[in-house]
Amino acid sequence: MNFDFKKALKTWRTQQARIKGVSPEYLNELESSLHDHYEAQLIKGLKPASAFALACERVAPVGMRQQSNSSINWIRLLPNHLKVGWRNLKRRKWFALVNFLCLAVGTLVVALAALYIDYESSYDTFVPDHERKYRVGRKYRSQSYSVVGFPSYFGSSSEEQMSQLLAYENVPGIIRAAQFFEFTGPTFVYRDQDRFEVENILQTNTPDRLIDFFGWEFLLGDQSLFADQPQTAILTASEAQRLYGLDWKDEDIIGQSIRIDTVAYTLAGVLADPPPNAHFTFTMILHQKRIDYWGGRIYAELAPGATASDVSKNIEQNLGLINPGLADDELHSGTLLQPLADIHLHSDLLYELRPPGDPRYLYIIGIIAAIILLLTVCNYTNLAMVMQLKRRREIGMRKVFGASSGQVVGQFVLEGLLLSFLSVPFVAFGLWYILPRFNALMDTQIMSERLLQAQLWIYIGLGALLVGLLASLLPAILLSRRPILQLFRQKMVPTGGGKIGLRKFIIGFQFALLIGLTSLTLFVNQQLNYMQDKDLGYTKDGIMYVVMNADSALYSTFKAEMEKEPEVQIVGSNGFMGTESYNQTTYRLEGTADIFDDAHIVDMDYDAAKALGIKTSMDQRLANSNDMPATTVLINRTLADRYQTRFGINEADLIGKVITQEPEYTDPETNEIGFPINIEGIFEDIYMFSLHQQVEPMILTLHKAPYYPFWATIAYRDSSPIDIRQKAENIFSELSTTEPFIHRFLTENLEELYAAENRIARLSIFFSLIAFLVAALGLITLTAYLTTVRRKEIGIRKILGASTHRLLGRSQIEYLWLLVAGLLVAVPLTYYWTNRWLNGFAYRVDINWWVFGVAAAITLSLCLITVSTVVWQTAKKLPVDNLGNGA
Amino acid sequence: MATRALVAASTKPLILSILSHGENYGYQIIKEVERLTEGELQWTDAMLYPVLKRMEAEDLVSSQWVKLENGRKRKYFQITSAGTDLLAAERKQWIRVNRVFLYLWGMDRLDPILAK
Repeated sequence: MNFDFKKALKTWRTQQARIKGVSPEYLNELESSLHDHYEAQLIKGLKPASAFALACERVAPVGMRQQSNSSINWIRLLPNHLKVGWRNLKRRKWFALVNFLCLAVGTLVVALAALYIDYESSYDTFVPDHERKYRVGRKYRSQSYSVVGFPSYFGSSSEEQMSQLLAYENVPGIIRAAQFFEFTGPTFVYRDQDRFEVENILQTNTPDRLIDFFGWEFLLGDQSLFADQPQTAILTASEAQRLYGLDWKDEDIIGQSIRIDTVAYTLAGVLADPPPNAHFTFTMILHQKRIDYWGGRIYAELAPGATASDVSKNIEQNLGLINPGLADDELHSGTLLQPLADIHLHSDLLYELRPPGDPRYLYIIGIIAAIILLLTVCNYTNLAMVMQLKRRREIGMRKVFGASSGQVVGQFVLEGLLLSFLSVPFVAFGLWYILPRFNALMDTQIMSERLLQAQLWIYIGLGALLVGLLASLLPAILLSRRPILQLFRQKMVPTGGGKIGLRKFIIGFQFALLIGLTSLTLFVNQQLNYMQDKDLGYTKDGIMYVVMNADSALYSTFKAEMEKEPEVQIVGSNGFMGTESYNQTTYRLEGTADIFDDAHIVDMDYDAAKALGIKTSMDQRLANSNDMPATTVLINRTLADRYQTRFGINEADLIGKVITQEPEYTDPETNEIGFPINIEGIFEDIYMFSLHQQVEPMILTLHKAPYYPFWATIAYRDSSPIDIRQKAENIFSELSTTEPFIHRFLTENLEELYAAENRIARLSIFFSLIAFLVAALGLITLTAYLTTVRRKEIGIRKILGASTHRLLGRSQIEYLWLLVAGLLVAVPLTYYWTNRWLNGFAYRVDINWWVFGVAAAITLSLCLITVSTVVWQTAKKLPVDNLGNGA
Repeated sequence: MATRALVAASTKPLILSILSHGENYGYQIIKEVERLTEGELQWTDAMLYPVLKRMEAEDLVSSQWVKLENGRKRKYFQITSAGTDLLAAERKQWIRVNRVFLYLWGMDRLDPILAK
């Protein structure tokens, strides 16, 4: 084939024209030269194609040619860059080690926080088509309920229970509905002669629908076996293991019988353990014709395209078919459809199955992790900048030999990435070690198997990439942009001068982060202490509750036996404090027209009130309960105050007045309106529920005879909880053989109310310590490095008469200003966020300004101690040592 | 091989010297340098043209495109009076340095004219 010179030349021109910075004039000059070279090679006897190739070789712009192939070059040079990077890490191994540790710890904390946030926000997402699945809730009075009452509550027959569910299923937009109720407390389950205490038992009369809805997987047995006949049961794998031993799979357990009380159930299957991040957990599901409760938890699957708001409206329109009584009930105020995945973090319904999570805590953890990450990145950036300033000659030489800014940036970024990727094995080991401990601390079950998932490692890899890039990009860009000559000049290492450089900015930023984190931790702990120390209106210590299951005979004997024990002061019935909120009632005071709907009704006996030390306006009379009437009704201070401010009725005038509970109800036989009661006294507010909630009106009825004694309230003194529990259990076991011994200590109840806060407080303390460690390491290393670099300066200052004392002062004054700047930044931001968090509590501490002072003082001491130690080490040396070579 | 520094220092005087003998173009200048240094200095077009451009900006050389017989164009460079002046100054410096070296290395007898 003939060589087409014109075509080749055109192609060559097009290629050259693409190169950045080639002017048309320059290109014309090169083209002209190309002609000359080409002709000369032809004259030498070369073939046209070879002559042209050679001419191109001679003419093509060398630097430009490099640039056009820079990506290839970069790959070619990668081993070299890696070698240089590795050599640099080795040369300054202590600094590199600190950087490595900080990066590893930073990445570890972020990975942990990400796993936690992912765990908390992925609740119930394992359910197939969870986007279309909802829990049905009801609004009644001003409260919302997660349990939907059956048409005749406890009295509903199985047909009534099912007809309500089927009516839900017939609502346009709903394609499937299922219901169950869960009994969380322990129940005795018998397998042959063996007895087991089993918690979290579900009862359902819609077995097929329930299993299809949640998509649980059968390991043994099958769905039809369970669904076709009532009085069947399925177990989870771990419960099967507990009941039938490790080799339950080989035991042929399907078809075997278990017994609860006197009722037998046939085992129809074993399910794989449901994922831990579900809004309810269970060990056993019983298929019964009728659910033994006043309501059920109802779930609905919507048709594709149906919206929750439309379906809620449809439900309201069909309420007459679903629950005819409710349709006429003026207190009913609507139906809720809660997306399944929103239940854990965004539900404020009564009677939740598990304490819901709080998205604010996820933000807090996310913010703390981000702060630690930023601290890590700041550390790296700062150290890298100072260390790389020492490498300015290397950068200069690279540039002289033709390295572009991009290549220099590439080298430094590669070193940052090298370090951050080296930290990945450390992070892996750290996660493997910490995860079980973290789970125990945070009450999560983030499974170690997650560590084997590729997805996690992709995220960690991306995290390492991000950290490496964030940390190294800034110093790399700053250094690579300096003109070559400047790189060869001395005095680039920063001195203690007044200019606000990037390094100072970063240290100031670190101070701000530390002050913010410390004060946040202090505030969280202050609020927790406040909640623990607050007078709740009753005795917290020395109170134990034992379940009596509303069995008055059992209670009376138990009380009599317990009170024989010397350490037991008194035993009462009910008065269960430190619990989740429950339903309120409507009421109207005699002589007023207003009906309120926010009163909690509390029932207990006189002895329980004594045991709890509830303060009343009639303490003297109550002291001798034998002389008291069968019942005495008291209202709390909040309600009394409301009547005082609203209607001007003072405390004395309230006594003897009648309050009608549920005035909307009229007795069909007697025509009496509601349930009237006489106010006989006032009691001081008791904080029965979490301090997140404002104390609301309460109507307390004290009984002489035990009134539905669900709990026995035991006040004891001079005994350890273990001893008193043992004594109570012994007595209980003698009296009752059919019910398990269930007890609670009041202090436990209160701790549980603030479990989330306690966990967050502990985590924030750990994270703060890590942050301090990271910051301290960074600061020590930075100061050490700067002081090494400034050894000569320190030597000369000493020769000129500066004392060690003055040298220390000089080095510290610089940090003092940075601290003030950090404080100015941290205070408003922390104030804002802490205030937002505290607003979630009805009873909260005020934000004290001194806390910021303490946080600043802690940060300052950390800084001063580290800086002084390093500077002092150098300053105490003889000046001649510092003035030697090698600075 | 000439060192990088020497190449950098000698480029401008070499171009000026070649042009002092008459106008010339890029390819020929490169060849001329190659011939005179017996291949010791190997310039490339990519290096030469930016230098010439800078020298033109400094008014040391001037240039013009000339149309050849075969129709293509070639750029010819001429030395300017400022270029001539600079060359004279450069020549003095190079001779002085050369003289010192010759003397120091005992080679002044070999080249008595320069050694004066």
